Amino acid sequence: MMKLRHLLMGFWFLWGSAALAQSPGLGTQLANELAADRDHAGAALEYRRLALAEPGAEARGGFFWASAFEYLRAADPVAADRILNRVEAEAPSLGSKTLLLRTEVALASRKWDEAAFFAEGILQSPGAAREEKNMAARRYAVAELRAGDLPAARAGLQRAPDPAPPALAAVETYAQGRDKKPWLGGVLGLVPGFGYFYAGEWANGFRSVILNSLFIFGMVNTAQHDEWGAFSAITFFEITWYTGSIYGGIDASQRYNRDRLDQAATGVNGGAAFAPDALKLPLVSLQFSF
Amino acid sequence: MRAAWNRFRAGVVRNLFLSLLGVLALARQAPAGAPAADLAADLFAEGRWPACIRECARACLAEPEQPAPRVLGAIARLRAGGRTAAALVQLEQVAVAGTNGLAALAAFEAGRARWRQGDATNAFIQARIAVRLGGQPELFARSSCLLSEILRKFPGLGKEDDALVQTLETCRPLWTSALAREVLAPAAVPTEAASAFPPVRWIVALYRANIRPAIGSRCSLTPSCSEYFLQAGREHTLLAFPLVADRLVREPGVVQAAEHPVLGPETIRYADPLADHDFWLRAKGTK
Repeated sequence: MMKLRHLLMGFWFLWGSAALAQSPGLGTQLANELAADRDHAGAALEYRRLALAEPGAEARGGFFWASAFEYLRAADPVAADRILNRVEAEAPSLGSKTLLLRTEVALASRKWDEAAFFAEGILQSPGAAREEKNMAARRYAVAELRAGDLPAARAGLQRAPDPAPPALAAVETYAQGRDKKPWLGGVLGLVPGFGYFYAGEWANGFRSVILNSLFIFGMVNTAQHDEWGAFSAITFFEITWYTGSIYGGIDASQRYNRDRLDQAATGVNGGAAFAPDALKLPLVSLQFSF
Repeated sequence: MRAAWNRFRAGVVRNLFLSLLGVLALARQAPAGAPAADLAADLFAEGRWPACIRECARACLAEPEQPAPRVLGAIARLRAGGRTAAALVQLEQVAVAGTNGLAALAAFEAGRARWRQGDATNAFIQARIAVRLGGQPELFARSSCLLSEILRKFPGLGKEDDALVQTLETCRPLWTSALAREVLAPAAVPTEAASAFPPVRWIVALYRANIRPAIGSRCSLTPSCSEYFLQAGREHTLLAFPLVADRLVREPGVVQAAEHPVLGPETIRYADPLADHDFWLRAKGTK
């Protein structure tokens, strides 16, 4: 009798071990741990593996969605975009969640029109959750802001189910500010340092003035002493500094404008983010933070 | 023209590896390594060589008797460059032993790699195996094109095989100029340093060989100023000079701001990539 019980327990143990070994839960755990360790490319690959091993289309789509999300976090929007095609093929029911990720991918790829298009899809979707619409409104506003359409950015934010005054304030602050004109920065850069001064980079401007002055002094001095070899070398460097001053004037203005835009976009996003609940995968259940 | 060529190339790669996917699916019997093999094929099609090589190794461990992941892994290693001798041997073993489309693919890849290495005899042997095995029509066209080119350069290799020469003659209509370019293109080698604007390259070489050893590596930014200059020379030729002058003017400010520290091998450096200072030039280029 004892032997039979032991035999049954042995079978039970072996069956349990085998089931555990084949369980997709272990694979999910590995992928989740990789994601938690910020090895996003590794996590994306693990989710892809899980998706390919999954017999059900819906679950496959869920894992592919998680893979695309991790590729995006790994700063690989091209791969994320490709995987999202598979999500759409496998699990059309993920609809607005896929569109939300598509919006993020388009923003990461600097495709503003595309991002606005996908966000618009969520805003118009009757099945999209309230948080999804709030998120989409912010992303829509960022896309339009970056595309240079301020009225559309404002309108986008106003379409959010829950108003976001700080985001609207960020758009207004941006609208009230003024961009620097890069061409003017370049023209001012003809006088060494002034291009930097125009963009508010005072220290860079003074360094440019000093360097150009020193080298011009060197050119004059070597020419007065008929040291034409040294004159040629110093002239070569001075031409480099001088063209650098012009380029720097343009670049400083461009960076000023970009930083202003980035600041506005950060203000609109306001730390809004989403992530899938890793424990529920392959069911895609999004957790939002605003 | 370039876009059409890129489209063609992408199409060839896609078709070829869709057929390889088919081969993988047919060759697979045990399901245990299936996801690894599928994933490997996907990664191959995406050109992610290190990940593909890893997945192929995983699939080989799961299904050691299956040649498909081995072949795919070997081709990925060839594509990735570096040490390719072992990959070539593996492909040649499959090519000699096999009788199916997979063997034809292995033979073609081995033949092309040998041809690129300048080993005409082995390239001829492998390309001939690939042509005899046939395989997918597209693969056959590529193999026959390669073999024809080998025989055009080294006619002595095929002089005792009139039937083969005859076969190749009948294949000629299959070889479009785009296919021939793709098959006979030299292997892609990293030529980053070599492709920089020559005066920039000379100045950086002079600095690295004669000045840096004396004064040490003094740049506090990453990439270093010489590397930044090289990158700028590669991307913008003559504009590299104002770009590096602007960089040298800004360097103390970037260090003082300390916004993007990067832990280097010996010290902390601050990130100041070229992309932060030519983004507007790139944007104009893409419009």
